[in-house]
Amino acid sequence: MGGKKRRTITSFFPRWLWGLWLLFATFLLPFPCPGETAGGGITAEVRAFDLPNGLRVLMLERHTSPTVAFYIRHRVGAADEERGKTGTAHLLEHLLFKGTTSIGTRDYKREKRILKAIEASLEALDKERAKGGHADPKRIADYEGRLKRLEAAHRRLFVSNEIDRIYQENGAENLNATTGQDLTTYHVSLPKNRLELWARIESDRMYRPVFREFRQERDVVLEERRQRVDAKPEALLNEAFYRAAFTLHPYGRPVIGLAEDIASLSIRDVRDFFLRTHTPANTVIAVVGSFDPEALKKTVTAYFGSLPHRPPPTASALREPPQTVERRVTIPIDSEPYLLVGFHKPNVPHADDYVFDVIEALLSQGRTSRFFRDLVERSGLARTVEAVNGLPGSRYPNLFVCGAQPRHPHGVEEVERALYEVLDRLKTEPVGEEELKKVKTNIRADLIRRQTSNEGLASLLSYYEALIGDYRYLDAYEGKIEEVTPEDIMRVARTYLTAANRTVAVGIKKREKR
Amino acid sequence: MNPRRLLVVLILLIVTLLTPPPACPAASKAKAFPHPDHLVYPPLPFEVPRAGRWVLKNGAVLYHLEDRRLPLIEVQVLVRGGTQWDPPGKEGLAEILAGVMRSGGAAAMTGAEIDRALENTATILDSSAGEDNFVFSLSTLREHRERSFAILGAVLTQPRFEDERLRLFKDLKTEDLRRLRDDQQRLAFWEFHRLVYGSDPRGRRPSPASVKAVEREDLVAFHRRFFFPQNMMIAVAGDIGTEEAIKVFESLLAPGSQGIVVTSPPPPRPAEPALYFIVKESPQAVIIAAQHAPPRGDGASYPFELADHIIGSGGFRSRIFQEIRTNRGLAYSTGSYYRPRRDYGIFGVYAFTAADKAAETLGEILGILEKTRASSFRDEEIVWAKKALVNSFVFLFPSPSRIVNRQMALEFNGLERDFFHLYCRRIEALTKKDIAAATASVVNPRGMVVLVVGPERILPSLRNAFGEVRRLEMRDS
Repeated sequence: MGGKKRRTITSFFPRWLWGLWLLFATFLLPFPCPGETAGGGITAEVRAFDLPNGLRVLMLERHTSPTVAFYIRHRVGAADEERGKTGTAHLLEHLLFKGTTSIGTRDYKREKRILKAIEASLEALDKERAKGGHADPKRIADYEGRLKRLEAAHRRLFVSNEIDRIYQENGAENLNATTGQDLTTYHVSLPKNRLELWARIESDRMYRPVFREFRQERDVVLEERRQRVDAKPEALLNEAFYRAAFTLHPYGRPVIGLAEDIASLSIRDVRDFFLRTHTPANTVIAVVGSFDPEALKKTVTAYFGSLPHRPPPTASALREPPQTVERRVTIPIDSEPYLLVGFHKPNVPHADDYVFDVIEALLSQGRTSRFFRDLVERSGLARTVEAVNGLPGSRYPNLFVCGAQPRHPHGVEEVERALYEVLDRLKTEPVGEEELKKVKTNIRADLIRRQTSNEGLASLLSYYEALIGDYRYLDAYEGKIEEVTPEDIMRVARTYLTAANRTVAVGIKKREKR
Repeated sequence: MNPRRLLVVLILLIVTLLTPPPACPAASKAKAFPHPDHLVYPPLPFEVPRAGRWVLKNGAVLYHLEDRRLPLIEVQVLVRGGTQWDPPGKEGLAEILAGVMRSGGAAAMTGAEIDRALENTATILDSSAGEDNFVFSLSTLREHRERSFAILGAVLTQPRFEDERLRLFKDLKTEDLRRLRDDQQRLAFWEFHRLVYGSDPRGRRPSPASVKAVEREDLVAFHRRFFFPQNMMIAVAGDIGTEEAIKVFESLLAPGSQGIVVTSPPPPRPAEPALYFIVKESPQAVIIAAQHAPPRGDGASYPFELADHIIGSGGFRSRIFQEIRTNRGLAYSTGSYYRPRRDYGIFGVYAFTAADKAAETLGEILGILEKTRASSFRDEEIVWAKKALVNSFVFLFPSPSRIVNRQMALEFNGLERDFFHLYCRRIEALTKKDIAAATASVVNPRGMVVLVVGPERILPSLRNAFGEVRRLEMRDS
């Protein structure tokens, strides 16, 4: 229950490691082509083209139902934010639902003038508020009054939530957007006769968005942070964990942003970020479903072709220095205990990343996995234990993460010790043939299952194209997984799963009235 | 694509190709595309796909739809029964039954052997217990189907309920319940469920004590009561023919064991309206309120579905979302829901808001409901909601397995077979008067059960705004 929740953030744990596992499965889990269609694989059916402005488009025809799934991914995320401006990418994602110069306006010329005044007033108000104890209460009241009057005048000039209204009215499903460390994504599915509607709305908001209702939306995001982080003990632990694991790299900061940063973000911050990052050359579109590719290509060219070319943004030059000793944080949380352990490792497409995908499956996929058998079933130490490869993002070197919930009366120490025993066995005993085969078989079956959904395919194709510049990774992947040997697993475990390379975060129950 | 549109597109295309991309946004001339509301779409003829239906020799009903595009077969088995039959003091029995049927071995195989057999062949077998059903779902590659079907059949008819697997399931469930208070949102919906159903069996929830009380004999008896072919429905989709599907499920489910086909208890009585409060120290407050609404398939359920869409389940433009989130920035998650069931329905509203704004937010939501009940919807809201429901209809049938599962669910829930064929026409035929009448007879903010879960300090503000607040003390688990 809890209703439809929009605007989720991908790289940010909404419901602890396990809830996210499914969400991340899309991105990080083994995802290969089916053995049955050897040679071509699903990507052989993909048609790709580029517009002169640099926009990349992938099309895959599937006539399972009279619907089409659209995914737009921009190669930008929270990892591209400056220190002190965390939450910019995500707030921008929210604001891109506020309409454009032609969608949601009653008179854009007049709106534009008022919006300028609103921007200036809000900046003045935020500046005064930022003085904290030295702020002048009278000034604050004045600015607030002025802002409210301007907002009231503005309200008469626009229609709120028009993008959502138009999409809903046309039968849209799966309408949402997500922000992660690496990418920002806008997706929607429509009945197949409404392709043009998608092109009309999306090209417009990539080019002429209007950031209406900024102050209210900033409050919504602060509320979102309370809901997803501040009211969730495990999410607070999670933030402490990444902060400890990444001392320099932006992966140490939360995608949703720190509350004090979000509260002081300005319209100017968001606009600058938008102009710098949401450019055609920094964007990949995937369309999967029932459509005529020639007609779609024409529609996309007509609507997106006029978007101006702009240079791609420069990627973060910050590199996380090698870790040399174990890092450990313990924080009191208002919940039963939790444990997180992470190991630094290279990101995709480094060869060792594939080996970690296999290790992840060996450790925690299913009831016959090693973690479940040893820690949940046999010793009864834990309620859940999971491994996830590639957090909190995959554009830069990342972490292999193990998370556990101890089972009463067992404590975190016992679970941590047992977890290391399972990991150490990877270093000394080669994995048996049957077990390795099981993992690879499941990887193959996963893909076949994913092919039952247009959304799943559009998500994957656009993800790999945006992240590593090649959607065909999907088909190459199975071969890479097939090549993983028991010796690879031992070597990788010995290299990375070491005490000096790990960060441990322990959440222990606060002793107080709840 | 509409030919006239295509022409426009072609002309634009030529212009685009001839104009070099401008260097910066300011230099680019805005091109006037039609407003999205003025786009014209070709018609989308859509026939609801029909699955075949058979009554097997053993009495079970089978729905089947063949689809050879992927080497995959999906099966869903629905069994009448579920959590509302849990005996008092043994709440959790149905859930434990479903879980341990899956994990505790069957026929000649131990639980561990079944786990291995399934995972070695990438077969997925899941089980769960709902309010009025047990659900078993199987997803298997075609090449492994014989083994997978045999396991499913054994699990359904000859579960072993191994002691160790039963103990493990109970231990994990107990730990899950211990951790219930850790998650404010889950705690709120969990406790709210009890409040809405009052003393009705549907309101029962497991506790560590009731889980502890469940023993192997209880599982054996419960299994015998519900799991026989006449009490089951099966949906099969994918890479398998009709003949084979029928043969498989006639041989797997022996007609031997006969039982009394299960019928639901009478619908629950509406709970006494009140405002409840549970203390949970947190920066946020969770607010939920609900009341009874028309059952599924009832004449009033169609206009009320439309009303609920406009009130709070239809996305950003729905009244609660627009006001509470967009206009006031009070919540990230807020809205309404309508859950029509076989012989009753529930209509509810919710918001997660900053603790200090709880009274304000609840007041605003109840105000929206009051206003909605008193005055009718605007014409443009009705047009918008009708279009949304009718245009998104095709998404109910995205894949063969979803098509068979939906058609099976119709019969399982006692709805007419033509439900989907008639649905769009019924929605389109609704008048403003129908919708207003349904709304006025259902929505009653003063008749709602309300729960707020939040920090103790907000209690006075709730009392101030709403009068009596009943504080619920949580048992320590």
